[in-house]
Amino acid sequence: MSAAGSPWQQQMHALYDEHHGWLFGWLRRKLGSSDNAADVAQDSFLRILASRDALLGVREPRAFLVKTAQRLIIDRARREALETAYLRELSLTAEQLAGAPSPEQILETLQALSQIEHALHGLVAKPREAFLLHYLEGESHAAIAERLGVSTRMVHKYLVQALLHCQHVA
Amino acid sequence: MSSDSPLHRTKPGPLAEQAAVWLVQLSGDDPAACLRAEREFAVWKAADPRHAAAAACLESVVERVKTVRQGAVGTPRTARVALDAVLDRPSRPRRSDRRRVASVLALVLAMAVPAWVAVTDGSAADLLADVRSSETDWIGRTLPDGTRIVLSGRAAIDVHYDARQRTVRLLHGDIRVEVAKDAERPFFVETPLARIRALGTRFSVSHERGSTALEMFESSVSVQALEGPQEQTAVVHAGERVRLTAQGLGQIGNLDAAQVERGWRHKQLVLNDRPLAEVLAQLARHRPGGIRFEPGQFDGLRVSAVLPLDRPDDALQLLASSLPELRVRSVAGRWVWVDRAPEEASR
Repeated sequence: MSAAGSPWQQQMHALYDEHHGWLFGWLRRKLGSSDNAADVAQDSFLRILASRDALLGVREPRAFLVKTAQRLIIDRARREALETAYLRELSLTAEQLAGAPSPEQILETLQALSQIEHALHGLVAKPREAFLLHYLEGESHAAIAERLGVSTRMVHKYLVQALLHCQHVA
Repeated sequence: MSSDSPLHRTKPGPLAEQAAVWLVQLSGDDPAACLRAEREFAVWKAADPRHAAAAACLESVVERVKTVRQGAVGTPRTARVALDAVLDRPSRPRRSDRRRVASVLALVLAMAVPAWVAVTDGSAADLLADVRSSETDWIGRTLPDGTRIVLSGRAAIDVHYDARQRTVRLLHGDIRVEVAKDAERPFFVETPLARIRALGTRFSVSHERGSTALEMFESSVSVQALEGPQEQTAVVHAGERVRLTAQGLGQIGNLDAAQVERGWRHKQLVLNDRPLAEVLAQLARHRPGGIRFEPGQFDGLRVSAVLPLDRPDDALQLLASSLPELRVRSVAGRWVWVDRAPEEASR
């Protein structure tokens, strides 16, 4: 990444130079912690970097930065809630597991779960249920139809809908 | 406005829709129909690279879920319960920015970051409410009478002062108290297990589920056990420490008061022959994400050491390197498990 790059890169540099300090201050006040604020500020710029076209048409950079940072905070809270729920559930069922799971295995599962959660976020209940019953729990279409009280044709529709909803994170 | 929105969901195109229909047919209930679908899907994918791309995109979604189902730790049920816990939360508001800000604040609070309180300044009014600190904090407060209290790590106190007495209720965590003299009003520290009356002076109190520990640095206090067989009372002097549990007062032990107090100043935990479980509990109060362990596992393991409380992960490594019986494992740098190493793996 050289400083004198494309217009987009220059725009990114300008955004960072002009507003990073301000965003950090804003986050520190909101979060009450310098460490968290520094992390979220950094991640906000990384996220904008990752979605290259996002800067086009931004008229109010600070409002834009705040929005990005807020979304990050929500994502973090969701990831944290997922980790907590998974580890709690795991510790409840730990006795039935063959051998102690390694941290690597747990980490891998957590990452995959987080991606699945991200993918399913915002999908309405029934298609989501159909998707998880089928692909995660291995239920047949007929069994899902019975569980949800719909026809198997409807289950097909739900699954198609869920797959399409998920594809943007693939 | 919408152009300011980072990361929007892209609308699926007709190719993605076709691919999704194929994929669903592939995993139907009729094996013959699945086979047929598989053959026809292959033909469709081969017909156009854009078909193949649309298919690959969706297939990777399915693969990811299957990885969790097959390779995961726990059962699909474990994964399901975890996902439901998050997915069933009210989804983020889309329309109103004001509502979104409110939800951000609510979520941040739900993340259990009590640092909000930690940065407010120490005015007297604030002190009449709870004082809380989080894992990485060392918070010093001066109470209205000049008494100094330091909260170390995750801790919370209530302060009740009236005309007759001064009471600090330690809800949980580690505090160091330097009591200001006031002949009119005695000074008490209370935990669910103990009532400590200061007769001087400087001491520290730790409390967490079922255990209160008192360490005396200067002068003395009288301690009353609030649980246990009968109402036991003891006077504890400088250089002594005592632990209280549901069984009442423990034995009074010795303490290098000067060194322990220096530890408080330098964010160090100074330990002399202490049960490992107690040490881990104290470290856990200083570590964001905590430390998971089964206290009963460590019976008989004792520790003498000086550990950096502001670097709990280093402290854990120090413990692990001097106690080969220990196994420390972490996930995502946040979650830490400590247990006994399996026999053959002991170094």
